[in-house]
Amino acid sequence: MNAQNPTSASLREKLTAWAGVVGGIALVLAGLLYLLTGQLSAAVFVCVLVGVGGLSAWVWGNPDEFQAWLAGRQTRYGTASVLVTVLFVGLIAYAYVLVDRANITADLTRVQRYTLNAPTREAISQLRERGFRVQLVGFFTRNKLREQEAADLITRQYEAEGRGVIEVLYIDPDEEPDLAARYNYQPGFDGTFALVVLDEQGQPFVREMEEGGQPRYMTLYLGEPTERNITTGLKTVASAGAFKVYFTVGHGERSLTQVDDNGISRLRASLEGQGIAAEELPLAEVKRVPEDADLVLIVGAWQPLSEAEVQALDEYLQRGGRLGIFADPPILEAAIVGEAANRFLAEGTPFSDYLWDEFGVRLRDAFVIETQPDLVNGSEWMPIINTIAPHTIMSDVRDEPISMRFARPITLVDAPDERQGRYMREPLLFTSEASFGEANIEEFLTNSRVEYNPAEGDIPGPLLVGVTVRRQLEFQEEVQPRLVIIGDSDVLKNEYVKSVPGNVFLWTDVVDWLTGFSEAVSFAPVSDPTLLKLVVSAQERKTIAVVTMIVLPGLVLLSGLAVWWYRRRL
Amino acid sequence: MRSVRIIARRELTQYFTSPIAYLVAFAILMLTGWQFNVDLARRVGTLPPDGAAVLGAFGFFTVFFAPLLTMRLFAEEAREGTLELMLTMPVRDSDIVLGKFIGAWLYFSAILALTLVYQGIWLAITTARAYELRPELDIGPVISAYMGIWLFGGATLAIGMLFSAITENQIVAGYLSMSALFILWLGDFSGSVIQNRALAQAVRTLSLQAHYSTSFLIGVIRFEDVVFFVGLIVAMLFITTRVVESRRWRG
Repeated sequence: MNAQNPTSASLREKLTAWAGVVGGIALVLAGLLYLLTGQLSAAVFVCVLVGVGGLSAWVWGNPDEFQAWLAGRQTRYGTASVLVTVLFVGLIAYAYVLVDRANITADLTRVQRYTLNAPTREAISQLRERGFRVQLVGFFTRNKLREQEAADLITRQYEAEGRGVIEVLYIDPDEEPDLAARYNYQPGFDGTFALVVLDEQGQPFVREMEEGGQPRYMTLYLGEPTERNITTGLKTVASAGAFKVYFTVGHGERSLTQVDDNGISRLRASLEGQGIAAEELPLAEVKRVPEDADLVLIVGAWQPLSEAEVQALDEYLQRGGRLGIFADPPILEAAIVGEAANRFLAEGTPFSDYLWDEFGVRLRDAFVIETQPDLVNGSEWMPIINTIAPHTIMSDVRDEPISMRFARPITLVDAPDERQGRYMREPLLFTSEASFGEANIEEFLTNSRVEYNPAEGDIPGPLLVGVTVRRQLEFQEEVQPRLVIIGDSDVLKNEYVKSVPGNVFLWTDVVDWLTGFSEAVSFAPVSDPTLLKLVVSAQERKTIAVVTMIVLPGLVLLSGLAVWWYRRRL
Repeated sequence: MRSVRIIARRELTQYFTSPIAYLVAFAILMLTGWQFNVDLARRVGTLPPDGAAVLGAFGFFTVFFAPLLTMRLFAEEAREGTLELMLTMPVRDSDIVLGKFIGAWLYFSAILALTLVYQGIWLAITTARAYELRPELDIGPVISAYMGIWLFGGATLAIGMLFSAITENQIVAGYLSMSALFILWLGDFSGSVIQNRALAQAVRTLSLQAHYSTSFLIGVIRFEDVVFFVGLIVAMLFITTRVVESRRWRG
């Protein structure tokens, strides 16, 4: 009576055998899930439960089969084989991990393209000598794993060479958006690097705190992870404080601390971000430009400079000083904001006369009117800067538009005298042919009317609104004064610098040209004769195509046919 | 080692007496030849010569033709019953596996050697004196690329051999190994497909291309890549040996 129905017993055995299979798979799955996620998640727990349950069911429902399986030849040999294989593969994986950590590479390229060059090692030792610690921060989403590995090829060398000085940190902006934001990550930075300087505690210097208490670090964006970019960044840090730019104050200049659209606080941040110190210069008080000045900038002054100030600037320039002037048209701003008239560089003032007598440059008492304003935001006050002279200073600007507002035309001397002849004046920026210089400012202020009238002194376009001045080659002795004069200070104001790339390029290029900063920090690439472009004649290409596409495969095919023919005859 | 040498020679002879192997070599040379000419046309007047470029394409083609070389190694012998005969001979299983692998690898090396013609052409172009400013061919990346593709080929053959040992059907063996190699090739782009970064990274570490295109192919020999390919070959041969050996005790 207790004997089980053979059919139901067979069914139970089948079911429990399948339960054992499912249980085994579930346990393997649990192990894999745990390895992949590194967490004992609910899924892992469920898989373990199913696994244990399934195997238990098998042991309970089919004990004979379980015993036979345990004692069977296949199980014994199979288990031993699997264990030995797992152990062997594990040893190989371990060896791989050890070698991976050792970072042993051989660069076979002719110019050692993937090995740190001497200037890089020099920059790293400069960092070490000056006590800097930096962090190279790479932004790589999971879509850029490949690029990250390519970057790692070079960053590992920086880390090894700069042990204790250089750290490398990779951030996935998708997985760690808050951390990426701290390092000023922006859309489009994926696959690029930034550089931060670390303090004594190994923490990045904080630029500002956000409302939620989140710090924003002081970062230097490097771009693509090339040796050139990274080493330039390191040299920039190593040269921190070596360059100093002074901004004159006391003449109504734009303020370095003013953070609204009309201020130039972004310029200061930009300079300091590159390790260039920016300070105010009350020229009337100090009487002399400090010895450590690499550049003096006058941005948007309204009041004329006194004789003493002009003498101080002259003395500075004669000892090889660099001066940048960004001057607005006279009177015009007064009409709009109702403040005192702009008399800076008005014709007949000491500084205007000095610039003319010494350098042969004069800013006109006029302002540029654009007669085709519909092309640029519909404003006749914003000239189209559509001609950029071929000048080294403009290397980065290229085709980027530059925004100006109320620009002031510049005149250069036609027949320079002996004094003026010592200098080379190179035009930089021109307005469009459709523009003209309105000289009758009084009428404009009275009637708000602008009209091209040559008889009243209006100047036909295109108008020069930017110029550089430097010594002629034969007069370049040990001192080489340089000037850049731009007929507008709006180009540098926060509103434009944050939104118009051309203005940013203009600004950085002007500073580079005047201070020689880029030259000092840039990394000179090694000359590589293997990078010349390929030269092959059409005839050569035809011959090559015949050899590689017909002769070589044809010979192999013929050999195959011969073998086939020979074996067929056997 | 004598038995290994004998088996390797037998396999190599079989390759050279089989028209199929010549057809594979023909197809490979047509494809790489085409690729070489396309690359050449692309570079004229715009880019410097790169002897390793054609080997990048060769690596991709290897994913598809290596299984054609290995699919018959064990599957055919198992189907025809000669493998059982071989297993009864006084030869170790590992010698059989190693011998067959070396035979296949030597044949692969012979096909690879044919591509040296392209390097000869590059050298001829770049050292001719007809033009003043001809670029020089950077030999370093060519050497590292050949070393890389040779190891890469060895790894693909070892993987293909494992699938040949698992099944008795050549077509299935070829299909399975081709699929596995293609997945291992695409593993380099795992980040674009797999959402979990850790998993994507792990998959990429196993990818064949990841250990080839960002190192050997650009002129850099990373020791970990050498260890990866050698380790993969050794592991695959070890597992294949275990699979062959299992024939002795499987029911």
